[in-house]
Formats: sequence, structure tokens, C-alpha cells
Amino acid sequence: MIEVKGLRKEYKEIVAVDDISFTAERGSIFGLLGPNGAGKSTTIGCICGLLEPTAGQVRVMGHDILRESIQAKSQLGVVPQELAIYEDLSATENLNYWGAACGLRRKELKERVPEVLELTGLQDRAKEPVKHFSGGMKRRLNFACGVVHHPAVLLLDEPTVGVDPQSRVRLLDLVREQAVAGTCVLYTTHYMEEAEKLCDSLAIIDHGKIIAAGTLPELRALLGERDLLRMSGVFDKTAVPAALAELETLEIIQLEDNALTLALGSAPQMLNRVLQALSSSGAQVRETTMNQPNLESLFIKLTGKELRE
Amino acid sequence: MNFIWQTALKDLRRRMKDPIALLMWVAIPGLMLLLFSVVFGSGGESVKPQVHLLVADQDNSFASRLLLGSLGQGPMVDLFKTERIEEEEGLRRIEAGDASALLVIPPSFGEKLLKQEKTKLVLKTNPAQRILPGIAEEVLSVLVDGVFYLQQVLGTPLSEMVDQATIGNSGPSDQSIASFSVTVNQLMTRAETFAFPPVIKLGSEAKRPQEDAGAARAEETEKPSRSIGELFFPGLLFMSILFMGQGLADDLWRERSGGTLARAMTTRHSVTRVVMGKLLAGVVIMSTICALALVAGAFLYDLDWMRMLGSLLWAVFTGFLLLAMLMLIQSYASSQRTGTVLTSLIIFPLMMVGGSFFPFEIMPSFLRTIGRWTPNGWSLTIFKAILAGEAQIPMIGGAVVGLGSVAVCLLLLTARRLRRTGTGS
Ligand SMILES: Nc1ncnc2c1ncn2[C@@H]1O[C@H](COP(=O)(O)OP(=O)(O)OP(=O)(O)O)[C@@H](O)[C@H]1O
Ligand SMILES: [Mg+2]
Repeated sequence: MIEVKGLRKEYKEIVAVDDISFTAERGSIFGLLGPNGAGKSTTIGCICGLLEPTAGQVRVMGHDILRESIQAKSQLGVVPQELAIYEDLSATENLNYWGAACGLRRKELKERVPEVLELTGLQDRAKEPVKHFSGGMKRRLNFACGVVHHPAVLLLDEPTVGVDPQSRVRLLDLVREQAVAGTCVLYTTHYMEEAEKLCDSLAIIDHGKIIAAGTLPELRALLGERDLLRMSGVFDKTAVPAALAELETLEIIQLEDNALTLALGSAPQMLNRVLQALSSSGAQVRETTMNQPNLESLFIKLTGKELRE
Repeated sequence: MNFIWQTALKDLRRRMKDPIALLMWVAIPGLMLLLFSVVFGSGGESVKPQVHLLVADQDNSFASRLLLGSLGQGPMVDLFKTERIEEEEGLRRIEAGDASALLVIPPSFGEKLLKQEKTKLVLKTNPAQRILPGIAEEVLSVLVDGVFYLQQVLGTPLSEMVDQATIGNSGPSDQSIASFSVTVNQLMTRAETFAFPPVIKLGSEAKRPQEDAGAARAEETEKPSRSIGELFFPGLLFMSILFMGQGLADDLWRERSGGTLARAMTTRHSVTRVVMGKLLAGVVIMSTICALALVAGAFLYDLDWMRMLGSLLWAVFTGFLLLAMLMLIQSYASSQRTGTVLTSLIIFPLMMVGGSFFPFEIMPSFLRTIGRWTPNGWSLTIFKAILAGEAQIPMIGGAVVGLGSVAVCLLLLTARRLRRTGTGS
């Protein structure tokens, strides 16, 4: 279990993490979703004791990370965002070292290392120096080094960036298995599909602050049981809101000169009226798509910008 | 303890994957020993191992000339034969195996260096030779660092000139060139007197040792049987230790920038243990290399086998202290490059004055006095005393205890520094 209370981290003028609190439970995956620079890695750094928080408290399995760091760190497995492996050693040698550093004995290593190699699909290249690996293979090994010792708490910082789709599915399955086996997983990402598919509960973070948190259904409910209508074309920023004002249950999520996103009660029935109102405002609609509400629309609603910029 | 040992083993494995780099630490002192033996030895003018370096200087700037000029100075003179050439011709000759390496200095090298932008020297090596191109590579990297450092020292006048040359099209004014050359002249005069002073001394004295005055003559005449190789051997062994210390300490930066140090800090082990593991690996490597060198020395120069163990222990203890010191310096450096420049700035003068390039026996007496009080010179004196069977055991014991505690302090300071900054890049 990870408990974060009032966490704040400043770098000179920049406030990277601003009063963040959350609890991640055993046997579940807690997602930290946010764009570049939101403060995800900084949060992870504070949780694993690499960074000293400016204020706030972090407890890992009940142990304060700063005051009882040995007990707290013994429970941790960390997969950092940047690769942290020895390029001149082989995959097996890397796993043996990091496994031993995390307390595995020789006999345990002998069983576990081939297992992890197989799970990450590296068994055929296990003896080669890592510097001959492709980028995605290195990322898989980086992941493997963090889980080799069956940690009780697993911190994953964007582990799937740069990994091909098949390996990504395998990696996500592995993360799921860890959680099923009782591990408390903290997973950061800026892919909302990944967060939606994988995480049991989530916090959306932007500019160092949590702007929404809860389970996926809870977060969806924030948008209401409404459909999402996205249109591209030419829109007037003052005429469009005026023309749409009369339509009930409709909310403008995003309005740009060339894009418009609306949330509305039952889109199929209302589509005609919406298009009429828009054409009366002088807008030209070129393309229309309709979706269920998702995390991205929630993010847009909360921050007024897209998650990926 | 287990983690410390695992860390050391891991480092040893990594070192074993690059045996050429290991060999380099011994190759330069080894070659110099060979060179000195040939030059000053039996009088044969015969074979000198020499790096034949082709140079295509497309830049022809102050920086490139400085770089090449330093290949023609001091101890480099004998090691390098440089030849200026066009790039295409050079490539053809390297293909034909006609030289050790081809150095291409790109057109904007000097300018970029001044503006602190990224720039790259290209070194094409002769695949048929292994050691000589390696030496070229090693020496050039040190020199480039040197030029880089010089630029840092001269920073203001140089960049002023570049600004004038690029902004005003008229080029630098006479006045700024004049003031600049004064600065350079002053610096060069200062640098020269301390960088290569013994060269001249070496030339004149080695030929006429009996005319030398004072203590040196006393030593020479006391032990008339000493061969030139034996004279140079201990100093060159210490040179090798200094190289090893620098190379091993450098690894701290690789761990830092590669993220592995940060990862180790997320385990329950303290950074102190990581540093201890790296020190242990260093000690194992130094022991192995020094032992091999001493065995070779025992055969070649008839050293006393019984005293070898003692001198080996002392040499490794010196290396351990040096490594602890250089690691502390590396932990304070703001980048790997700064780290290399800083450690080079420390070990090269130490080597020159501390009896590694030029044995104390052939140094002018004032330099010898200074040299014997440099840390490595002091240690070298004791090392020679152990080999000669004249060591004062109680004094050495006291030194080991005292310096051992210094090493512990250095270790703790390094760990403290890394704990604070190891994660920040
Ligand atoms: N060492 C540092 N010194 C100064 N500022 C820093 C440092 N590390 C991070 N920051 C700043 O803190 C903020 C949060 O950075 P962080 O790395 O936590 O973001 P992130 O959410 O992980 O982003 P990404 O998705 O790009 O990995 C950024 O504005 C960043 O510039
Ligand atoms: Mg990050």
C-alpha cells in the first residue's frame, strides 16, 4: 500500500508537485495520468525516496520512506522512465545483479531470472550484451529488472513508451498479473487508453495538481451519462455558443476555430438540431464523430486542452 | 557485505568485457618503459614503437594548431610522428595500412569549441594495428580535454575575438589580437615552466650522469648496477596506477548518467555500499595488474621476490587512496567531461613531478624536493624503499592507519554527495 499525503516538491521556482494526496491499495493498479511535465516522475521519485519532498509524507506498506527507509525500500520495485540498466552486461547478468541487490538469493535467482526473461520475451537474447538490443528490448529489460524480486509495491513510470504493440500487450498483462498476485501497482502514463484499460482507480494530474480522482466509472460520471460529439470545420467563437445556448442538456467541452467538442444527452436524436443551429451561426461542419465519454474528454473538460500536445 | 561484493563482481564483469581499455592503462607506461630502455639502454638506435598519425586539418584554426602542436611537445615527441595530409589521400593510406591512424579535424572545429557547441574529431584507425591506434585515441582525448580546458581559462578573450570576427565582418581588431596574444603568452610561459621542465634535464643528464651534482650523484654511485629499466620501472608502475585510478573513478559518471546509480538508490542498500563495491572492484583490478607488472619486473630487473608482496600491498594501498580521492572529485564534477578534465589536471602534473615520467634520480634537486612531497612521489619513495629492503615498518604501519582513515572520510563524503545529487542530472 502507498499512502501519499500533501506531497509537494519544488525545484527553485518550479513547483513540480503541488499538494498531492492519494492512497494506492494492495492487489490493485493505481494510475497517474497526465501530460508531459505534469509531475508524474517527480511523484514517483518522492515515493521511492530518490527525491526529498519539500513538504508532505509518503508511506510504503506503512513505513515512512524517509524515516524508515530501509523497511520501506525493501518492499519496492521501481521501473524508472529512463533506462537504468548496464549496457555492457547481458540481460541475465543485469537481472542477476538487480535481483541480488533486491535481496534474492542465488537459488531464487536461478529460478526467477529465466522466468522473467521468458515473460518479457528476452529469453533468446539473454546472453548478448544489452547494448546490442533494440530500444524496445531495452525497455522490456528495464521493466524486468524492476519486477524480478516480486516486490510488494511496484512503481512503473511510463514503462510502455517505445514498446511495439504486441510487446506492450504482454507487458500490460504482466502488470495485471502482478496486481492479481497482490502487488500494489502505481502506474504513470500519458496514454489514456492504457489507463482506461489497465487501472482500477486513477488520478488525473496536471501542473503538479490532481484535478480529478476516482475509479473509471466515477470519473466517467463527472462528464454525466452523455455522448461526445466532435466536429471539425470552421467555427465562430462567439456565434457558436449563442446559437447552441437554446439546446438543453448540451455542454461545450472545447471550442476552437477549427474544432468543436460537445457533450449532450442523446446525440442521435439531437444531431439534426445541433447541425441546424450551427449552420445558422455560420459554421461549416466538415466531419462529425460520436463517442462515449472517455478520459480524454474529461481531461479536456477539466483543463481546456488536449492531453497530447 | 554481500551487496558490496555483488557490486564489485558486477563491475569486474563489466571491465572484463572491454579488455582493450584495461590494456591501455598498462600499455602507455609499458611502451614508455620499452622506449626508455631502447633510447637510453644499450645504445642501439634501433626500433622505436611510434604512432604514425596522419592529420587532415580542414580547420587550421588556433584550436586545431594548439591540438597538433601539443603532439610535438614534451614526451609526445618520441611517441608520435605526425604528417599533414588531405583527407582522401589519408583514407587511401589508412586502407593501405600505411599509418596508425588518420585524424580529421572538421572545418568549424575551433569555432565550435570556442562557442562551446558540440563538435567532433574523426579518428580513422588502421584495423591491422591494435595498440598504436588505441594510444592515438587515448592521447587525443586527453589533449582535446586540454584544449577545452584552455578555452575555459582563456574564455573571455577568445570569445570576444570570435564575436568580433563573426559580428563585425572586419575581423578582430589589432588591439584585441594584441591583448589576446599577451594573455596567451603569459599563460603559456606559466604552463610551460611547470608542464615540461624535466625534458631538457633528461636529455643532458642522462648522457652525463657522472657530472650531476649533489644527492643524485650520491644515489647513482651508490647503486651503479641499476639498469635504466629498473630506474624507470617503479615510476611507470605508479603512472599505470594513476591511469587506472582515473579510468576507474570515471565509471561513477557512467553509473550516474546511465541511471543505474539512481536505481541502486531505490534498493534498501545505502550509496556508501555502492561506492564501497566500486572501490573493491578497483582494488581487485589494481592488485591484478600491479601483481602482473611486479612479476614481470622481478624477471626483467631481478627484483627481490620476498619484498614483492610488501611492495605490491603498498602500491595497491596507494591506488585505493587515489581512487577514493578521484571518486570524490568525480562526484563533485558537474558533468562527465568536467570530471575527466579535473582528474586529468590533477594526475598529469602529479605524474610529471611525482617521479613517473622522470625518475627522481635524474631530476634537478629543487624539483626532486617538490616531487617527493607530492602524494604519489611520497608513496613512490616508500615503494622503492620496500623494494630495496630499506623500509621502516613502523612508519609505514602508521601511514596505513592514518591514510586508511582519510580514505574512509573520502568514501563517506562521496556517498553523501551522491545521495544529494546522484539522481539529479
Ligand atoms: N531536476 C529538476 N530540476 C528542475 N526542474 C525539474 C527537475 N525535474 C523535473 N523538473 C520539472 O518538474 C516538472 C515535472 O516534471 P516531471 O518529470 O515530474 O514530469 P512528468 O509528468 O514525469 O513528465 P513526462 O511525461 O514528460 O515524463 C517539470 O516542469 C520539470 O521541468
Ligand atoms: Mg516522467
